[in-house]
Amino acid sequence: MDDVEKKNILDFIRNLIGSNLINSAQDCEGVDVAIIDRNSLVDVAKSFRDNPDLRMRHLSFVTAIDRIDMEKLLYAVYEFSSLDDDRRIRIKVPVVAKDPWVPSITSIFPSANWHEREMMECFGIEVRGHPDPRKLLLPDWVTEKPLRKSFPSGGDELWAFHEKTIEMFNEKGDYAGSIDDDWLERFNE
Amino acid sequence: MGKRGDVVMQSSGKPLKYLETRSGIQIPPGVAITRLDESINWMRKFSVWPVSLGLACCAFEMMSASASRYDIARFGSEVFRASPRQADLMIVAGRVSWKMMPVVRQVYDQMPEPKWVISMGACASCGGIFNTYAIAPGVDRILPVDVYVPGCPPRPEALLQGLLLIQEKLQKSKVEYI
Amino acid sequence: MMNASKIKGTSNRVMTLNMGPQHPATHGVLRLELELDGETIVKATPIIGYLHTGVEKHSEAKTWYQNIVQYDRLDYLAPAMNNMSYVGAVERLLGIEAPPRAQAIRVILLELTRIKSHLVWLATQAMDLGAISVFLYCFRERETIIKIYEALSGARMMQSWICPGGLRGDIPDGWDEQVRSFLVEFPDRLREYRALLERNPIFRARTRRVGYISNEESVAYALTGPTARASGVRYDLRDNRPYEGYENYDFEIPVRTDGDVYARYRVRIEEMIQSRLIALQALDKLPGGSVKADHPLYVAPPREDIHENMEALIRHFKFYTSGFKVPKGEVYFATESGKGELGFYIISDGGEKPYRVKVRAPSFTNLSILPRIAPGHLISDLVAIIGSLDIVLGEIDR
Repeated sequence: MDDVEKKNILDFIRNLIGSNLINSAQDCEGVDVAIIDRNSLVDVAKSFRDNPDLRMRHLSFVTAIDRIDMEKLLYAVYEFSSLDDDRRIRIKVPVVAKDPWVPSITSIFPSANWHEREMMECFGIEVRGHPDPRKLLLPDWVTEKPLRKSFPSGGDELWAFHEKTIEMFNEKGDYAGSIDDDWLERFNE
Repeated sequence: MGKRGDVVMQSSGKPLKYLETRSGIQIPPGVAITRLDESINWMRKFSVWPVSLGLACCAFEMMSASASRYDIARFGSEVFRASPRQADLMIVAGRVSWKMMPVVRQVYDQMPEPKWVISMGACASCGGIFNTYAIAPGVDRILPVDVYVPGCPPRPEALLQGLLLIQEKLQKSKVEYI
Repeated sequence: MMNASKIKGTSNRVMTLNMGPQHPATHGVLRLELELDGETIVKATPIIGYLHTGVEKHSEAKTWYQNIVQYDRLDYLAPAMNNMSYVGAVERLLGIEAPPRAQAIRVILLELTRIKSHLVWLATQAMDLGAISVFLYCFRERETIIKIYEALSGARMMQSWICPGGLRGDIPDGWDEQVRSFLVEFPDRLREYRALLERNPIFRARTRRVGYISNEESVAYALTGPTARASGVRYDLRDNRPYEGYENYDFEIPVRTDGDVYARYRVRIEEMIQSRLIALQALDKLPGGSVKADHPLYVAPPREDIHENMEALIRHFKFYTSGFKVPKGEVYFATESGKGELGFYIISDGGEKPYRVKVRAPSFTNLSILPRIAPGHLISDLVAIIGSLDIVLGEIDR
């Protein structure tokens, strides 16, 4: 029964988007992984939510993988599962490093809102159509994308990053440097 | 006035003796002579009120220290004030990220003098086990820390010992007269 | 129960108030920007990131075994759950399984951790609503559980006792009596707390019909854990995708349909009762055998052997210095933490360090519903709502 249903999800995607399904694989537990083109992501997400046979209504997470060294690609990963039984599928969307964008699925799955914001700031993948593309976890002054492999994960380069932040604090003088100047003007009116 | 060795009987039947200082002054019973600094410090050290700046896991050992088993109130820290303007001691409990640093500094600046800082846990003292881009290597980069309490997280008794060290430091400090 | 469309602003003055990261009633360093019309909330925006640690980046720099220690600090109220999720994912990548005795002890540890996490939730929620005695009583219970952890591993909070292949060591003598004596007296204590709170008209008035989350919202925002089960979503990973032998234990999943703060309170209280039953069953059926799988590469040898056996000594040395290599692959393994679906998505490229570790934290997703349900409430209701979502900033910010 399980095999029939799992094949159904991949077959369903193949029927829906045709050649935009680039590849499919299995992870070490046997869960399906479908690699699809970014232009059909919204259609796939809509059918996962609305189709009464599929009913994959639960989006566990949205994240990204940095494979720029090996394949010059970043992958955006979406994990869908069903709430009623144990069907799962993982969707990977390859994104070229020179033009990294994916469409937003926040209008379909509202839980993707914060996950996509975190993906944007940590990996630098632009999520087009996101209602609120501000920084979520990182402070406002950070411009680098820390979870990319090009960002240091230890050693002297990381220490240089700390030194830069300490210097910035010392220059600003008042450490509560995030007060907006416009806000102060409005307050004083 | 009596002399050293004279005994005064109290109404309860217990005797009290006169004492004598080195310079020959006779001290009647019930009178203590000390310097103003020491008496002010003695009063201050038994009512050090912390401000609640529990950031991460160490905050829960701090809360355990204030719960009934390892009662911190018996050392004078009766309440954890929410407002820094009413607090004397800042216990930085937990890892301090760079985004949180300006906030910690602002809370410290809002505390009135005299004030002390305990850096609780390994993360607040030196960055702890996290050697990452987001965690500051120690809160003493922007704050003057008086006592470091190591541990991950430190036991509540370790925090209490840190508080006792602050009290010792307090007793020996100079009082500022305005 | 009001929603934002019913608010008629008689004047256009909306005040912005900052419930800053340093606040006694936000559970950790959560910052809320509130737009208020009088005392009624018009808009609430959580601003997080004040405890961002960069754990996912740090995982790529440490070996597979060294990483176990730092995930304890994510959801610091339930450290064994984080251990279990990560170690379960690594075990699936390695293709090994823990022996039955290790699985049973893991279940006991996990259920005790769930009770402890819910006790701290009850303490902080009651304290926010003004019932400070409940805080002191729950911390008394927590001390008993912490002593059990300390007898097992030496550490009060962060045990890191679960490792790939089983546990770091076997339980000491008398540990099962210690656990049993706690579990036997726990229902009476719980009855005390419930009597203090549930019959209190102030508690009921502050929690009933406050913070309503509907079934559709709960599914759309991917809420999991007791927050979702109080809105009628029957989704529990111990039931849907059982792990560590949970299919052998007999327990119920409490589900309510009211969706308000009081329903979430009742679901968690009932979960504590069910956790106690699971732990008692595991304790009664505790099998014998070893607590470490017999796999030469991935599991450290027992300590007694390294004094007798040269091979064991070399294995021990290699294991703790250079670690082991995990075969290439990827996995997403999720367990039912006290707060919801706690999952680890791990990618290995065959090396000694992970290639990518993504932590799917339940509180991260659960908090994202706050901007939707807060409008229309008063600030004091907001405090009750945040308490009922049971968030831990360590895992939100990672």
